[in-house]
Amino acid sequence: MSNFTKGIFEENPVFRLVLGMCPTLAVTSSAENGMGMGLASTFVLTGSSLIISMLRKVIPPKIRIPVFLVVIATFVTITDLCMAAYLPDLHRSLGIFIPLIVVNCIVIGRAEAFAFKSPVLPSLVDALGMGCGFTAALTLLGSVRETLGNGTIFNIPLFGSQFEPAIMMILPPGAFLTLGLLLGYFNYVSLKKKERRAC
Amino acid sequence: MNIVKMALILAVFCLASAGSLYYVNTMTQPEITNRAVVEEDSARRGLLLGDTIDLLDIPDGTYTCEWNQKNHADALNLVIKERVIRKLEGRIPGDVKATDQQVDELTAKYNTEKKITTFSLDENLQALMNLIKSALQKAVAFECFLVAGIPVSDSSDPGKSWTLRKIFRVEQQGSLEVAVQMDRETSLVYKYDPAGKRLQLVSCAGKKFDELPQQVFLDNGRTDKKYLLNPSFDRYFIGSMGGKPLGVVSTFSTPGYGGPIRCMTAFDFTGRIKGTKVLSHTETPGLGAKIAEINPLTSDRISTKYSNPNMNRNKPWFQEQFKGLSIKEAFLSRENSDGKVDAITAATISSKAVTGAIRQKMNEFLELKDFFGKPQGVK
Repeated sequence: MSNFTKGIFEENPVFRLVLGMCPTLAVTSSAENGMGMGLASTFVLTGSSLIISMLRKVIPPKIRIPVFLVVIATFVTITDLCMAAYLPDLHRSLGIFIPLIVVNCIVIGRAEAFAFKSPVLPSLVDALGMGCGFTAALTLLGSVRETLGNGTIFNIPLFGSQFEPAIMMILPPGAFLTLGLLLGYFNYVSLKKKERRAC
Repeated sequence: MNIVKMALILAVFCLASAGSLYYVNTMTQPEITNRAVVEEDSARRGLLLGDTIDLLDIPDGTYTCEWNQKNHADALNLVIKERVIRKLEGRIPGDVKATDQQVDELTAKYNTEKKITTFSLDENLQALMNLIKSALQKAVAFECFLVAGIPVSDSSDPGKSWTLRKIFRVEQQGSLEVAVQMDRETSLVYKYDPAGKRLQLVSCAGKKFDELPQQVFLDNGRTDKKYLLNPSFDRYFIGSMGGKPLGVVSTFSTPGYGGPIRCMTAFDFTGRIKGTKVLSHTETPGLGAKIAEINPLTSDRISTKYSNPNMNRNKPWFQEQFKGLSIKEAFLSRENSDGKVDAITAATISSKAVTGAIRQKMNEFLELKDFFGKPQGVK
Protein backbone atom coordinates (compact mmCIF):
# COMPACT_ATOMS: atom_id res chain seq x y z
CA MET A 1 0.00 0.00 0.00
CA SER A 2 2.75 2.42 0.89
CA ASN A 3 4.31 1.63 -2.49
CA PHE A 4 1.16 3.01 -4.10
CA THR A 5 0.54 6.13 -2.00
CA LYS A 6 4.16 7.22 -1.94
CA GLY A 7 3.95 7.91 -5.69
CA ILE A 8 1.02 10.23 -5.14
CA PHE A 9 2.23 12.13 -2.07
CA GLU A 10 5.75 11.83 -0.56
CA GLU A 11 7.43 10.91 -3.83
CA ASN A 12 5.14 12.61 -6.33
CA PRO A 13 7.19 12.55 -9.56
CA VAL A 14 6.44 16.15 -10.48
CA PHE A 15 6.26 18.01 -7.17
CA ARG A 16 8.71 15.99 -5.05
CA LEU A 17 11.09 14.17 -7.39
CA VAL A 18 10.91 16.92 -10.06
CA LEU A 19 11.16 14.30 -12.80
CA GLY A 20 9.69 14.41 -16.30
CA MET A 21 9.63 18.20 -16.56
CA CYS A 22 9.52 18.21 -20.37
CA PRO A 23 5.95 16.93 -20.80
CA THR A 24 4.91 18.65 -17.58
CA LEU A 25 5.78 22.04 -18.97
CA ALA A 26 4.80 21.39 -22.57
CA VAL A 27 1.38 19.69 -22.51
CA THR A 28 -0.33 21.25 -19.52
CA SER A 29 -1.88 24.11 -21.48
CA SER A 30 -5.28 22.60 -20.71
CA ALA A 31 -6.65 20.23 -18.07
CA GLU A 32 -7.78 17.74 -20.69
CA ASN A 33 -4.35 17.53 -22.31
CA GLY A 34 -2.69 17.14 -18.92
CA MET A 35 -4.98 14.31 -17.93
CA GLY A 36 -4.66 12.50 -21.27
CA MET A 37 -0.89 12.73 -21.13
CA GLY A 38 -0.89 11.48 -17.52
CA LEU A 39 -3.05 8.47 -18.36
CA ALA A 40 -0.98 7.58 -21.42
CA SER A 41 2.22 7.80 -19.34
CA THR A 42 0.64 5.65 -16.63
CA PHE A 43 -0.09 2.93 -19.18
CA VAL A 44 3.47 3.01 -20.54
CA LEU A 45 4.93 3.10 -17.01
CA THR A 46 2.86 0.14 -15.82
CA GLY A 47 3.52 -1.93 -18.92
CA SER A 48 7.25 -1.34 -19.02
CA SER A 49 7.67 -1.85 -15.25
CA LEU A 50 5.83 -5.15 -15.51
CA ILE A 51 7.99 -6.46 -18.37
CA ILE A 52 11.24 -5.20 -16.87
CA SER A 53 10.64 -6.65 -13.41
CA MET A 54 9.54 -9.94 -14.98
CA LEU A 55 12.72 -10.15 -17.04
CA ARG A 56 15.09 -8.56 -14.53
CA LYS A 57 17.04 -11.84 -14.12
CA VAL A 58 17.49 -12.19 -17.89
CA ILE A 59 18.61 -8.66 -18.71
CA PRO A 60 22.41 -8.27 -18.33
CA PRO A 61 23.07 -5.19 -16.13
CA LYS A 62 25.60 -3.80 -18.60
CA ILE A 63 23.04 -3.37 -21.40
CA ARG A 64 20.02 -2.63 -19.24
CA ILE A 65 19.54 0.93 -20.57
CA PRO A 66 19.18 -0.06 -24.27
CA VAL A 67 16.84 -2.90 -23.25
CA PHE A 68 14.74 -0.49 -21.14
CA LEU A 69 14.52 1.87 -24.09
CA VAL A 70 13.40 -0.88 -26.46
CA VAL A 71 10.69 -1.98 -24.01
CA ILE A 72 9.51 1.58 -23.33
CA ALA A 73 9.52 2.56 -27.00
CA THR A 74 7.45 -0.52 -27.81
CA PHE A 75 4.82 0.42 -25.24
CA VAL A 76 4.75 4.03 -26.41
CA THR A 77 4.22 2.98 -30.01
CA ILE A 78 1.45 0.60 -28.96
CA THR A 79 -0.22 3.43 -27.01
CA ASP A 80 0.13 5.78 -29.96
CA LEU A 81 -1.36 3.34 -32.48
CA CYS A 82 -4.20 2.19 -30.22
CA MET A 83 -5.09 5.77 -29.34
CA ALA A 84 -5.13 6.77 -33.00
CA ALA A 85 -7.41 3.85 -33.79
CA TYR A 86 -9.83 3.83 -30.86
CA LEU A 87 -9.64 7.30 -29.20
CA PRO A 88 -9.18 9.59 -32.19
CA ASP A 89 -10.33 12.77 -30.42
CA LEU A 90 -7.83 12.45 -27.59
CA HIS A 91 -5.13 11.46 -30.06
CA ARG A 92 -5.83 14.58 -32.07
CA SER A 93 -5.36 16.86 -29.08
CA LEU A 94 -2.28 15.07 -27.70
CA GLY A 95 -0.83 14.09 -31.09
CA ILE A 96 2.79 15.12 -30.93
CA PHE A 97 3.25 14.55 -27.20
CA ILE A 98 2.55 10.82 -27.18
CA PRO A 99 5.85 9.83 -28.88
CA LEU A 100 7.61 12.08 -26.37
CA ILE A 101 6.72 9.69 -23.52
CA VAL A 102 9.77 7.68 -24.65
CA VAL A 103 12.06 10.40 -23.32
CA ASN A 104 10.05 10.88 -20.12
CA CYS A 105 12.59 10.25 -17.39
CA ILE A 106 9.95 9.01 -14.92
CA VAL A 107 9.48 5.88 -16.98
CA ILE A 108 13.15 5.03 -17.31
CA GLY A 109 13.76 6.32 -13.77
CA ARG A 110 11.25 3.90 -12.23
CA ALA A 111 12.54 1.05 -14.41
CA GLU A 112 16.09 1.72 -13.21
CA ALA A 113 15.40 2.53 -9.58
CA PHE A 114 12.57 0.17 -8.75
CA ALA A 115 11.38 -2.36 -11.34
CA PHE A 116 14.85 -3.70 -12.13
CA LYS A 117 15.40 -4.55 -8.45
CA SER A 118 11.95 -5.63 -7.25
CA PRO A 119 9.55 -8.52 -7.84
CA VAL A 120 6.59 -8.16 -10.17
CA LEU A 121 3.79 -7.17 -7.78
CA PRO A 122 5.56 -4.33 -5.91
CA SER A 123 6.85 -2.97 -9.24
CA LEU A 124 3.35 -2.92 -10.65
CA VAL A 125 1.95 -1.15 -7.59
CA ASP A 126 4.82 1.33 -7.61
CA ALA A 127 4.29 2.08 -11.31
CA LEU A 128 0.54 2.57 -10.82
CA GLY A 129 1.15 4.90 -7.86
CA MET A 130 3.70 6.95 -9.76
CA GLY A 131 1.36 7.08 -12.75
CA CYS A 132 -1.52 8.32 -10.61
CA GLY A 133 0.73 10.92 -9.00
CA PHE A 134 1.91 12.11 -12.40
CA THR A 135 -1.64 12.23 -13.79
CA ALA A 136 -2.89 14.17 -10.74
CA ALA A 137 -0.01 16.64 -10.97
CA LEU A 138 -0.47 17.27 -14.70
CA THR A 139 -4.23 17.66 -14.33
CA LEU A 140 -3.77 20.14 -11.48
CA LEU A 141 -1.22 22.15 -13.44
CA GLY A 142 -3.35 22.06 -16.56
CA SER A 143 -6.47 23.16 -14.66
CA VAL A 144 -4.70 26.15 -13.11
CA ARG A 145 -3.22 27.25 -16.42
CA GLU A 146 -6.42 26.72 -18.39
CA THR A 147 -8.53 28.57 -15.82
CA LEU A 148 -6.27 31.61 -15.76
CA GLY A 149 -5.13 31.57 -19.36
CA ASN A 150 -8.31 30.68 -21.19
CA GLY A 151 -11.15 31.16 -18.69
CA THR A 152 -12.26 27.53 -19.05
CA ILE A 153 -11.72 24.21 -17.31
CA PHE A 154 -12.06 20.93 -19.27
CA ASN A 155 -13.35 23.24 -22.04
CA ILE A 156 -16.27 24.43 -19.86
CA PRO A 157 -16.40 28.23 -19.69
CA LEU A 158 -16.10 29.40 -16.08
CA PHE A 159 -16.53 33.12 -16.35
CA GLY A 160 -18.73 35.43 -18.36
CA SER A 161 -17.56 37.12 -21.52
CA GLN A 162 -16.28 40.04 -19.40
CA PHE A 163 -13.37 37.93 -18.17
CA GLU A 164 -10.10 38.87 -19.82
CA PRO A 165 -7.87 35.76 -19.72
CA ALA A 166 -4.13 36.10 -19.10
CA ILE A 167 -2.87 34.49 -22.29
CA MET A 168 0.62 34.31 -20.79
CA MET A 169 -0.55 31.47 -18.55
CA ILE A 170 -0.97 29.07 -21.47
CA LEU A 171 2.32 30.18 -23.01
CA PRO A 172 5.62 28.67 -21.77
CA PRO A 173 6.23 31.34 -19.06
CA GLY A 174 2.88 30.42 -17.50
CA ALA A 175 4.05 26.82 -17.22
CA PHE A 176 7.20 27.81 -15.33
CA LEU A 177 5.35 30.24 -13.06
CA THR A 178 2.60 27.77 -12.17
CA LEU A 179 5.03 24.92 -11.66
CA GLY A 180 7.29 27.07 -9.51
CA LEU A 181 4.46 28.27 -7.28
CA LEU A 182 3.00 24.77 -6.90
CA LEU A 183 6.45 23.32 -6.14
CA GLY A 184 6.94 26.03 -3.52
CA TYR A 185 3.59 25.25 -1.97
CA PHE A 186 4.26 21.49 -1.80
CA ASN A 187 7.71 22.10 -0.29
CA TYR A 188 6.13 24.38 2.30
CA VAL A 189 3.53 21.76 3.19
CA SER A 190 6.12 18.99 3.61
CA LEU A 191 8.34 21.29 5.64
CA LYS A 192 5.43 22.05 7.98
CA LYS A 193 4.76 18.33 8.28
CA LYS A 194 8.36 17.68 9.24
CA GLU A 195 8.29 20.44 11.85
CA ARG A 196 5.15 19.05 13.37
CA ARG A 197 6.68 15.60 13.53
CA ALA A 198 9.80 17.02 15.23
CA CYS A 199 7.76 18.68 17.99
CA MET B 1 29.32 -12.32 -19.98
CA ASN B 2 30.80 -11.65 -23.35
CA ILE B 3 29.80 -9.09 -25.90
CA VAL B 4 28.29 -11.61 -28.31
CA LYS B 5 25.87 -12.89 -25.69
CA MET B 6 24.80 -9.36 -24.73
CA ALA B 7 24.29 -8.44 -28.36
CA LEU B 8 22.19 -11.57 -28.81
CA ILE B 9 19.99 -10.71 -25.84
CA LEU B 10 19.51 -7.18 -27.15
CA ALA B 11 18.68 -8.55 -30.59
CA VAL B 12 16.08 -10.88 -29.07
CA PHE B 13 14.45 -7.91 -27.31
CA CYS B 14 14.42 -5.91 -30.53
CA LEU B 15 12.88 -8.81 -32.43
CA ALA B 16 10.21 -9.34 -29.78
CA SER B 17 9.44 -5.63 -29.90
CA ALA B 18 9.27 -5.60 -33.70
CA GLY B 19 7.01 -8.64 -33.64
CA SER B 20 4.56 -7.18 -31.16
CA LEU B 21 4.51 -3.84 -32.98
CA TYR B 22 3.85 -5.60 -36.27
CA TYR B 23 0.87 -7.31 -34.66
CA VAL B 24 -0.50 -4.06 -33.18
CA ASN B 25 0.04 -2.28 -36.47
CA THR B 26 -1.87 -4.82 -38.53
CA MET B 27 -4.65 -4.63 -35.97
CA THR B 28 -4.97 -0.85 -35.83
CA GLN B 29 -3.98 0.23 -39.34
CA PRO B 30 -7.27 -0.66 -41.09
CA GLU B 31 -9.16 1.20 -38.36
CA ILE B 32 -6.98 4.32 -38.70
CA THR B 33 -7.07 4.37 -42.51
CA ASN B 34 -10.77 3.67 -42.59
CA ARG B 35 -11.48 6.45 -40.11
CA ALA B 36 -9.40 8.93 -42.11
CA VAL B 37 -11.21 8.04 -45.34
CA VAL B 38 -14.65 8.29 -43.70
CA GLU B 39 -13.77 11.59 -42.03
CA GLU B 40 -12.43 13.09 -45.23
CA ASP B 41 -15.43 11.98 -47.22
CA SER B 42 -17.85 13.36 -44.66
CA ALA B 43 -15.92 16.63 -44.43
CA ARG B 44 -15.98 16.99 -48.20
CA ARG B 45 -19.73 16.47 -48.35
CA GLY B 46 -20.31 18.74 -45.37
CA LEU B 47 -18.34 21.59 -46.92
CA LEU B 48 -20.21 21.39 -50.21
CA LEU B 49 -23.59 21.21 -48.56
CA GLY B 50 -22.87 24.26 -46.43
CA ASP B 51 -24.91 25.47 -43.47
CA THR B 52 -28.11 26.04 -45.36
CA ILE B 53 -29.72 22.97 -46.86
CA ASP B 54 -32.15 23.39 -49.67
CA LEU B 55 -34.66 20.54 -49.51
CA LEU B 56 -35.66 21.14 -53.14
CA ASP B 57 -32.21 20.05 -54.31
CA ILE B 58 -32.30 16.72 -52.58
CA PRO B 59 -33.41 13.78 -54.72
CA ASP B 60 -36.03 11.34 -53.39
CA GLY B 61 -34.83 8.36 -51.45
CA THR B 62 -34.01 7.01 -48.01
CA TYR B 63 -31.14 8.60 -46.19
CA THR B 64 -29.50 7.02 -43.19
CA CYS B 65 -27.33 8.63 -40.59
CA GLU B 66 -25.09 6.32 -38.57
CA TRP B 67 -22.90 7.61 -35.79
CA ASN B 68 -21.67 4.25 -34.67
CA GLN B 69 -20.32 2.45 -37.69
CA LYS B 70 -20.37 -1.00 -36.14
CA ASN B 71 -23.86 -1.06 -34.76
CA HIS B 72 -26.54 -0.59 -37.35
CA ALA B 73 -29.20 -0.25 -34.67
CA ASP B 74 -27.80 3.21 -33.98
CA ALA B 75 -29.22 4.83 -37.04
CA LEU B 76 -31.68 7.53 -37.97
CA ASN B 77 -33.68 6.98 -41.14
CA LEU B 78 -35.04 9.75 -43.26
CA VAL B 79 -37.43 9.11 -46.13
CA ILE B 80 -37.77 11.89 -48.66
CA LYS B 81 -40.48 11.65 -51.27
CA GLU B 82 -41.55 14.39 -53.65
CA ARG B 83 -39.24 16.78 -51.85
CA VAL B 84 -40.89 16.36 -48.48
CA ILE B 85 -39.54 14.54 -45.45
CA ARG B 86 -42.10 11.77 -45.08
CA LYS B 87 -40.63 9.86 -42.23
CA LEU B 88 -37.99 10.42 -39.62
CA GLU B 89 -37.47 7.37 -37.48
CA GLY B 90 -34.84 5.49 -35.57
CA ARG B 91 -32.90 6.01 -32.41
CA ILE B 92 -31.58 9.47 -31.61
CA PRO B 93 -28.25 9.43 -29.74
CA GLY B 94 -28.25 10.16 -26.01
CA ASP B 95 -26.34 13.43 -26.24
CA VAL B 96 -29.06 14.96 -28.43
CA LYS B 97 -31.76 15.99 -25.97
CA ALA B 98 -34.64 16.50 -28.35
CA THR B 99 -38.17 15.33 -27.53
CA ASP B 100 -40.40 13.59 -30.05
CA GLN B 101 -42.44 16.76 -30.29
CA GLN B 102 -39.37 18.79 -31.16
CA VAL B 103 -38.41 16.26 -33.81
CA ASP B 104 -41.87 16.54 -35.36
CA GLU B 105 -41.73 20.33 -35.17
CA LEU B 106 -38.36 20.41 -36.88
CA THR B 107 -39.57 18.11 -39.64
CA ALA B 108 -42.69 20.23 -40.13
CA LYS B 109 -40.64 23.41 -40.19
CA TYR B 110 -38.28 21.96 -42.71
CA ASN B 111 -41.14 20.78 -44.90
CA THR B 112 -42.83 24.18 -45.00
CA GLU B 113 -39.73 26.33 -45.36
CA LYS B 114 -37.83 23.90 -47.62
CA LYS B 115 -34.65 25.59 -46.52
CA ILE B 116 -33.05 25.51 -43.10
CA THR B 117 -30.10 27.44 -41.87
CA THR B 118 -28.53 25.34 -39.16
CA PHE B 119 -27.15 28.16 -37.09
CA SER B 120 -30.50 29.76 -36.36
CA LEU B 121 -31.62 26.79 -34.26
CA ASP B 122 -31.27 26.22 -30.54
CA GLU B 123 -28.65 23.85 -29.16
CA ASN B 124 -30.54 20.54 -29.07
CA LEU B 125 -32.31 21.10 -32.36
CA GLN B 126 -29.00 22.08 -33.84
CA ALA B 127 -27.55 18.72 -32.81
CA LEU B 128 -30.54 16.97 -34.36
CA MET B 129 -30.21 19.09 -37.48
CA ASN B 130 -26.55 18.10 -37.74
CA LEU B 131 -27.66 14.47 -37.72
CA ILE B 132 -30.16 15.12 -40.50
CA LYS B 133 -27.49 17.01 -42.37
CA SER B 134 -25.01 14.18 -42.09
CA ALA B 135 -27.64 11.86 -43.56
CA LEU B 136 -28.48 14.23 -46.41
CA GLN B 137 -24.78 14.63 -47.16
CA LYS B 138 -24.96 11.24 -48.81
CA ALA B 139 -26.97 12.79 -51.64
CA VAL B 140 -23.85 14.60 -52.83
CA ALA B 141 -22.22 12.80 -55.75
CA PHE B 142 -18.59 13.28 -56.69
CA GLU B 143 -16.47 13.15 -59.76
CA CYS B 144 -12.76 13.00 -59.10
CA PHE B 145 -10.26 14.90 -61.18
CA LEU B 146 -6.53 14.66 -60.85
CA VAL B 147 -4.25 17.48 -61.85
CA ALA B 148 -0.68 16.80 -62.82
CA GLY B 149 1.90 17.90 -65.32
CA ILE B 150 2.80 14.66 -67.05
CA PRO B 151 5.18 14.81 -70.02
CA VAL B 152 3.97 12.77 -73.04
CA SER B 153 5.36 11.87 -76.45
CA ASP B 154 3.62 11.24 -79.77
CA SER B 155 3.77 7.52 -80.63
CA SER B 156 3.63 8.06 -84.39
CA ASP B 157 6.58 10.41 -84.27
CA PRO B 158 8.93 9.41 -81.42
CA GLY B 159 11.07 12.52 -81.82
CA LYS B 160 8.13 14.77 -81.07
CA SER B 161 7.27 15.20 -77.45
CA TRP B 162 5.59 17.88 -75.45
CA THR B 163 4.61 18.50 -71.90
CA LEU B 164 0.94 18.95 -71.41
CA ARG B 165 0.20 21.78 -69.13
CA LYS B 166 -2.44 19.90 -67.29
CA ILE B 167 -3.78 16.40 -67.20
CA PHE B 168 -6.98 15.44 -65.57
CA ARG B 169 -7.83 11.95 -64.69
CA VAL B 170 -11.29 10.50 -64.51
CA GLU B 171 -11.64 7.04 -63.11
CA GLN B 172 -14.80 5.16 -63.99
CA GLN B 173 -15.60 1.55 -63.23
CA GLY B 174 -12.00 0.53 -62.84
CA SER B 175 -10.90 1.85 -66.22
CA LEU B 176 -8.64 4.83 -66.41
CA GLU B 177 -9.36 7.83 -68.56
CA VAL B 178 -7.12 10.79 -68.85
CA ALA B 179 -8.72 14.05 -69.83
CA VAL B 180 -6.31 16.61 -71.16
CA GLN B 181 -6.80 20.29 -71.56
CA MET B 182 -4.42 21.62 -74.20
CA ASP B 183 -5.63 25.18 -74.12
CA ARG B 184 -8.79 27.05 -73.20
CA GLU B 185 -10.81 25.70 -76.15
CA THR B 186 -9.37 22.25 -76.63
CA SER B 187 -9.91 19.35 -74.29
CA LEU B 188 -9.28 15.71 -75.10
CA VAL B 189 -9.92 12.40 -73.42
CA TYR B 190 -7.46 9.55 -73.64
CA LYS B 191 -8.10 6.06 -72.37
CA TYR B 192 -5.33 4.13 -70.71
CA ASP B 193 -4.39 0.95 -72.57
CA PRO B 194 -2.63 -1.36 -70.09
CA ALA B 195 -1.38 -3.80 -72.77
CA GLY B 196 0.47 -1.20 -74.79
CA LYS B 197 1.08 1.02 -71.76
CA ARG B 198 -0.07 4.02 -73.76
CA LEU B 199 -2.99 6.40 -73.95
CA GLN B 200 -5.51 6.09 -76.76
CA LEU B 201 -7.53 9.11 -77.88
CA VAL B 202 -11.26 8.52 -77.42
CA SER B 203 -12.90 11.91 -77.78
CA CYS B 204 -12.10 15.55 -78.14
CA ALA B 205 -13.67 18.97 -78.11
CA GLY B 206 -12.45 22.11 -79.88
CA LYS B 207 -10.31 20.46 -82.59
CA LYS B 208 -10.80 17.80 -85.26
CA PHE B 209 -10.33 14.26 -84.01
CA ASP B 210 -8.03 13.27 -86.91
CA GLU B 211 -5.66 16.17 -86.43
CA LEU B 212 -4.73 15.09 -82.96
CA PRO B 213 -2.20 12.44 -81.93
CA GLN B 214 -4.17 9.19 -81.59
CA GLN B 215 -1.81 7.49 -79.22
CA VAL B 216 0.59 9.02 -76.74
CA PHE B 217 3.14 7.58 -74.38
CA LEU B 218 3.84 8.90 -70.97
CA ASP B 219 7.45 10.02 -70.77
CA ASN B 220 10.20 9.47 -68.22
CA GLY B 221 9.76 5.73 -68.53
CA ARG B 222 6.83 5.95 -66.16
CA THR B 223 4.18 4.36 -68.24
CA ASP B 224 2.33 2.32 -65.68
CA LYS B 225 -0.98 2.81 -63.99
CA LYS B 226 0.74 3.15 -60.64
CA TYR B 227 2.34 6.38 -61.77
CA LEU B 228 -0.98 7.76 -62.95
CA LEU B 229 -2.50 6.93 -59.58
CA ASN B 230 0.28 8.71 -57.70
CA PRO B 231 -1.38 10.05 -54.54
CA SER B 232 0.75 13.18 -54.55
CA PHE B 233 -1.09 14.61 -57.56
CA ASP B 234 -3.63 17.25 -56.74
CA ARG B 235 -7.12 15.89 -56.58
CA TYR B 236 -10.21 17.94 -57.21
CA PHE B 237 -13.63 16.61 -56.35
CA ILE B 238 -16.55 18.12 -58.22
CA GLY B 239 -19.66 17.72 -56.15
CA SER B 240 -23.21 17.75 -57.41
CA MET B 241 -26.58 16.96 -55.93
CA GLY B 242 -29.51 15.84 -58.08
CA GLY B 243 -27.59 16.94 -61.17
CA LYS B 244 -26.99 20.46 -59.89
CA PRO B 245 -23.29 21.27 -59.47
CA LEU B 246 -22.45 22.48 -55.96
CA GLY B 247 -18.78 23.26 -56.19
CA VAL B 248 -15.27 21.90 -56.19
CA VAL B 249 -13.36 20.57 -53.18
CA SER B 250 -9.63 20.29 -52.96
CA THR B 251 -7.52 18.74 -50.20
CA PHE B 252 -4.00 19.96 -49.64
CA SER B 253 -1.23 20.11 -47.11
CA THR B 254 0.92 23.04 -46.05
CA PRO B 255 3.83 23.36 -43.61
CA GLY B 256 2.66 25.03 -40.40
CA TYR B 257 4.55 25.89 -37.22
CA GLY B 258 4.66 22.39 -35.77
CA GLY B 259 4.33 20.22 -38.87
CA PRO B 260 2.11 19.78 -41.88
CA ILE B 261 -1.44 21.17 -41.72
CA ARG B 262 -3.92 19.24 -43.87
CA CYS B 263 -6.78 21.35 -45.09
CA MET B 264 -9.78 21.01 -47.29
CA THR B 265 -11.38 23.94 -49.09
CA ALA B 266 -14.53 24.09 -51.16
CA PHE B 267 -15.07 26.66 -53.90
CA ASP B 268 -18.26 27.49 -55.76
CA PHE B 269 -18.40 28.25 -59.46
CA THR B 270 -18.67 32.00 -58.88
CA GLY B 271 -15.08 31.83 -57.62
CA ARG B 272 -15.75 32.28 -53.93
CA ILE B 273 -14.77 30.10 -50.98
CA LYS B 274 -17.63 27.90 -49.82
CA GLY B 275 -15.96 26.64 -46.71
CA THR B 276 -12.74 25.44 -45.23
CA LYS B 277 -11.83 22.67 -42.82
CA VAL B 278 -8.56 21.75 -41.14
CA LEU B 279 -8.37 17.96 -41.26
CA SER B 280 -5.25 17.42 -39.19
CA HIS B 281 -2.47 19.50 -37.72
CA THR B 282 0.22 19.43 -35.05
CA GLU B 283 0.21 23.09 -34.04
CA THR B 284 0.95 24.25 -30.49
CA PRO B 285 -1.98 23.47 -28.17
CA GLY B 286 -3.58 26.65 -26.93
CA LEU B 287 -2.08 28.79 -29.70
CA GLY B 288 -1.80 27.55 -33.28
CA ALA B 289 -4.22 24.75 -32.47
CA LYS B 290 -6.94 27.42 -32.47
CA ILE B 291 -7.09 27.04 -36.26
CA ALA B 292 -9.34 24.07 -35.47
CA GLU B 293 -10.93 25.10 -32.15
CA ILE B 294 -14.46 26.29 -31.57
CA ASN B 295 -13.99 27.87 -28.14
CA PRO B 296 -16.31 30.86 -28.10
CA LEU B 297 -14.55 32.38 -25.08
CA THR B 298 -10.97 32.72 -26.16
CA SER B 299 -8.53 35.49 -25.67
CA ASP B 300 -8.84 36.48 -29.30
CA ARG B 301 -11.03 39.49 -28.78
CA ILE B 302 -11.15 40.67 -32.36
CA SER B 303 -13.86 43.15 -33.20
CA THR B 304 -14.72 41.43 -36.46
CA LYS B 305 -14.88 37.96 -34.95
CA TYR B 306 -18.04 36.23 -36.14
CA SER B 307 -19.05 39.49 -37.82
CA ASN B 308 -19.21 37.79 -41.22
CA PRO B 309 -22.90 36.81 -41.61
CA ASN B 310 -21.92 33.49 -43.19
CA MET B 311 -20.09 32.36 -40.07
CA ASN B 312 -21.46 29.55 -37.95
CA ARG B 313 -20.79 30.08 -34.25
CA ASN B 314 -20.68 26.36 -33.61
CA LYS B 315 -17.69 25.84 -35.83
CA PRO B 316 -14.06 26.90 -35.47
CA TRP B 317 -14.06 30.67 -35.96
CA PHE B 318 -10.75 30.85 -37.77
CA GLN B 319 -11.95 28.53 -40.54
CA GLU B 320 -15.39 30.11 -40.69
CA GLN B 321 -13.85 33.46 -41.59
CA PHE B 322 -13.02 32.21 -45.08
CA LYS B 323 -16.64 31.61 -46.02
CA GLY B 324 -17.77 33.65 -48.99
CA LEU B 325 -14.43 35.36 -49.56
CA SER B 326 -13.17 36.14 -53.04
CA ILE B 327 -9.51 35.89 -54.07
CA LYS B 328 -8.96 39.58 -53.27
CA GLU B 329 -10.27 39.18 -49.73
CA ALA B 330 -8.49 35.95 -48.79
CA PHE B 331 -5.62 37.75 -47.09
CA LEU B 332 -4.82 38.30 -43.43
CA SER B 333 -6.26 41.72 -42.55
CA ARG B 334 -2.92 42.82 -41.12
CA GLU B 335 -1.12 42.11 -44.40
CA ASN B 336 -3.51 43.52 -46.95
CA SER B 337 -6.10 46.29 -46.63
CA ASP B 338 -8.67 44.19 -48.54
CA GLY B 339 -7.98 41.14 -46.36
CA LYS B 340 -10.87 39.85 -44.29
CA VAL B 341 -9.13 37.11 -42.32
CA ASP B 342 -8.07 37.86 -38.76
CA ALA B 343 -4.92 36.14 -37.58
CA ILE B 344 -4.86 34.17 -34.33
CA THR B 345 -3.14 36.05 -31.51
CA ALA B 346 0.39 34.70 -30.94
CA ALA B 347 0.03 32.19 -33.79
CA THR B 348 0.93 34.25 -36.84
CA ILE B 349 2.80 31.43 -38.59
CA SER B 350 -0.15 29.02 -38.39
CA SER B 351 -2.58 31.72 -39.55
CA LYS B 352 -0.31 32.75 -42.42
CA ALA B 353 0.29 29.17 -43.52
CA VAL B 354 -3.40 28.31 -43.77
CA THR B 355 -4.38 31.58 -45.45
CA GLY B 356 -1.51 31.40 -47.93
CA ALA B 357 -2.24 27.81 -48.86
CA ILE B 358 -5.93 28.50 -49.36
CA ARG B 359 -5.13 31.47 -51.58
CA GLN B 360 -2.71 29.39 -53.64
CA LYS B 361 -5.35 26.68 -54.12
CA MET B 362 -7.87 29.35 -55.03
CA ASN B 363 -5.58 30.74 -57.73
CA GLU B 364 -5.25 27.24 -59.16
CA PHE B 365 -8.96 26.70 -58.98
CA LEU B 366 -9.76 29.96 -60.76
CA GLU B 367 -7.48 28.88 -63.59
CA LEU B 368 -9.19 25.49 -63.83
CA LYS B 369 -12.70 26.78 -63.19
CA ASP B 370 -13.81 26.81 -66.82
CA PHE B 371 -12.73 23.23 -67.23
CA PHE B 372 -14.52 22.08 -64.10
CA GLY B 373 -17.61 24.10 -64.97
CA LYS B 374 -18.34 21.93 -68.00
CA PRO B 375 -17.33 18.45 -66.93
CA GLN B 376 -19.92 16.89 -69.26
CA GLY B 377 -18.33 18.49 -72.31
CA VAL B 378 -15.10 16.64 -71.67
CA LYS B 379 -16.50 13.15 -71.89
